[in-house]
Amino acid sequence: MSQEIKMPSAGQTTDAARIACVNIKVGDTVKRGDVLMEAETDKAVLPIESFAAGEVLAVLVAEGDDVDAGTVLAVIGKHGEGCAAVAPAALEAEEPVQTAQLKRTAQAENVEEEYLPIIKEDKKDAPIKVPAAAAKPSKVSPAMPNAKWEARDQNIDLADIVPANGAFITRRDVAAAAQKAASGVPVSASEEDGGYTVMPLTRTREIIGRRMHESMQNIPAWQCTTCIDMTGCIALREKFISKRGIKLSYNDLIAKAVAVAARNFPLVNARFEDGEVRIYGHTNIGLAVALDGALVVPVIKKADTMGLEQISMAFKEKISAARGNKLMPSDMGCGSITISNLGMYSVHHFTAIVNPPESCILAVGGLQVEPVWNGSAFLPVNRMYITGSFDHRIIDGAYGAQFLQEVKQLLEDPGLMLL
Amino acid sequence: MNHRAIRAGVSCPYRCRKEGNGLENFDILVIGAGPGGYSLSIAAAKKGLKTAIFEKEHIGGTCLNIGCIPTKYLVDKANTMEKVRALVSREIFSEAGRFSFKKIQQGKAGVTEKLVGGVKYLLKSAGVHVIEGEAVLSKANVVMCGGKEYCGKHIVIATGSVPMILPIPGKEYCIDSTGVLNLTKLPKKMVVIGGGVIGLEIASAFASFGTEITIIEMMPELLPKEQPEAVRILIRELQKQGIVLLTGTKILRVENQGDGLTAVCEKDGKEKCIDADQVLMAAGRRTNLTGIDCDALGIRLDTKRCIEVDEHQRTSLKGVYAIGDVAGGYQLAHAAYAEAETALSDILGEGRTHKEIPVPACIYTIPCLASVGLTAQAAKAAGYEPVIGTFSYDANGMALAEGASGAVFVIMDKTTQKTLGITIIGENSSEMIAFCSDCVMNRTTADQWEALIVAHPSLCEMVREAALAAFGKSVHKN
Repeated sequence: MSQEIKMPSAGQTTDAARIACVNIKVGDTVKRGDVLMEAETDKAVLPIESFAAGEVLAVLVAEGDDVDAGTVLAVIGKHGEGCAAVAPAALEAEEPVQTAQLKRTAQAENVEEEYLPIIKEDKKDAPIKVPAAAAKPSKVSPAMPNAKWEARDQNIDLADIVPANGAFITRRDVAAAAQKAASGVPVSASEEDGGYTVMPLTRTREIIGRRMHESMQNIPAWQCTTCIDMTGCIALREKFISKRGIKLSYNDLIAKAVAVAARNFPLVNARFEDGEVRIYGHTNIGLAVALDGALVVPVIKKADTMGLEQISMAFKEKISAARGNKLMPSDMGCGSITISNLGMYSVHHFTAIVNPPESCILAVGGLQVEPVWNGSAFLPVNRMYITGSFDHRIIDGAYGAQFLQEVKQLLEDPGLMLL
Repeated sequence: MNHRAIRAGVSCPYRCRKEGNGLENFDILVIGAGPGGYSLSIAAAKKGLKTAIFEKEHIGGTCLNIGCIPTKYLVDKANTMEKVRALVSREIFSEAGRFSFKKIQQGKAGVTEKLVGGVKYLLKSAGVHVIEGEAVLSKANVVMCGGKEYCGKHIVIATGSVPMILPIPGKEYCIDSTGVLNLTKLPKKMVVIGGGVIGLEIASAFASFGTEITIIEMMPELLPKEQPEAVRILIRELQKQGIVLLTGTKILRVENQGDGLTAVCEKDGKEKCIDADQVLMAAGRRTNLTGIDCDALGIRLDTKRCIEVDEHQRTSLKGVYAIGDVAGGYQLAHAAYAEAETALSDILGEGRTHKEIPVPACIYTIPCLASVGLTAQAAKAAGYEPVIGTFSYDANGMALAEGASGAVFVIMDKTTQKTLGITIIGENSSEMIAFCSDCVMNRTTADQWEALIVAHPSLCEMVREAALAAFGKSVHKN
């Protein structure tokens, strides 16, 4: 009995996913738990595991396909078993067709981008045009006289040349076109500057772009910075290492401080959703995690109910899940505050963009020793700068500053976090 | 059941009884459940005749499953996209958005299923025996199917037609109209062999989807039987869509280049190569005579290998009728419906025929070309003195509001001032042609046209104006 592998539900906010990679082909043998393909949702890359063992009878999606939850992705069954009965609709393309040509198409289909623009692109290289006049682009850019001579000498049609300066064709444009014609390598005049390559816009990149743009456009964010003496935290961290064998990260401590401070500053738990400010009962803290070519923000929920060790464990888990592309959609998008730490890159101070619909984000710089005047002498003190970006629709200046002050106090005297 | 009303066929049940073969006896056996076959079966069963219908593939035939209806689904989506493009170009829509060819192809299946389901229901509720399987007409009154024999007083052959595949080298790389309706990927370039109705409709839809289309037509002009002025407008519109039309061009072969195909054609002794992802063979349709051994049975065929029929759809073999594509004539579902009615009327002894009734024909290109009755040339050949009244979509309020373009041509007889034929090229012509059919059938005179009140604003106003224009009576035309 063959079985359909369907696209699992990717989460509450996500209705579509894009197939990021397909690890199987028809004829492969798979066992339960094998990762058949990976699907990118707007928040994560989901591995799609096989719950069946057997031979891959059909692969119904290709890399880059957009799929909804429930879409049949592949069919697994016994060798030689027909799969038409299982997914007749999805397998339309696989049905025996009359001509060899059509079979070829059905296989080539995998590379298709499903949605095409309704407005047609200009076709420059149509094979034949009936009216002779239509064979060339009707608009030929004006050309310098020497460019015209050069073109005549080189037997190059000016209509084929796009001027590098965008206005008129120069002799250099003609020379470049001649070079292109000679070498057969597509080098346009405008690429003389070195040209460019196009970064593939993955779904994750698309989503990061959209969300950040949305943030900058919609959120009236404001920033303020505080400087924290980290001596207490460093001591506490060392104590944890020596006494408990646990290596706390500064993010763990900051998260704990935020969770404690949020008791007095509940707006930190707020999100701006559907035109209203919703203040949540618990503190859900996100941590920005850089991945290769992407950025994800896993969230630890109810950080206010957790001890330092628990927070630390939770973050470690989420980070490793994020790096292994194993974050579930439910792990993300539910925070109200995010910690973004660039301290490891010797960054001193920076500002971050609020991750909508959250109310704030803390941009954390690295530790650095600064001379601090204690009234009688300069002492070397390890200090850290935290810059909060706040959604002004939720948090005003004084409130935000007081919140940062509270965080600063807690981090400078971590014992207060126990109260 | 009123048996006396039934015309006696030679293949009467007595012979069956004489042979003592214990066959199941029917009044009518219909081979093929396309539009002609199913409509005849339902009508016959409703008259109380015991009717069985044989179908080897799809109930509903080519039209419903792999012909008119699925094509119309494509054309409709293409038409909508053209509208969207027009609205974007006028900046009424800010953007056009994106479309999925795959979803279009998938969507038509739903329509087909619904229609086929409807036909099945009608057959069932009328009490028609539906026998699925390949039928063989073994004797004048016996049909074999699935190892069983059925005896019928009357046999109706409605086996339709199949796409004609030209015997050129590389024909195996080509797809037919069925193949094109099954494509899951939109071809970037497609060569269409044949500039007939099927080729033009598919070309038009696919060009709108963004496929670069080249049509290769062997005849020097397209649609020679249609009003030439209308055809010229159609060609202009098709070329505007980017379709390349090569008339007077012969396809020589199709070569497989590994990563694509090349159609090699010839015009005036010169060879020309056209690259394509797909080559559609739309060189017409030939009669499907599977299961009907005409020579052995003594059924006469005409020169085009269609079953020869008289005005009552009777074949040369008594008791055997042929309707639809297999009987030649118009390859149109509504012609098959009419022929089915004629055949049934003959079986019932009523003797009505449809030969005098004009058959409208529509070509669902973008824009659609619809015609009924005679063209000016045909009228002249028939001894009339035709006058052509024309009216442009550009002068019609409704057409302007809808952004539609095209023209109406009404052919009138100069002396009698009667309507001989009407051709419309433009949006909604396939709908307007229905009342035109009535006017052509009843030979509406110029006076009657003048007396006719047509709603304003409507596209139908143009037909009246065109008819009046034939005699210089149009108000809205100089």
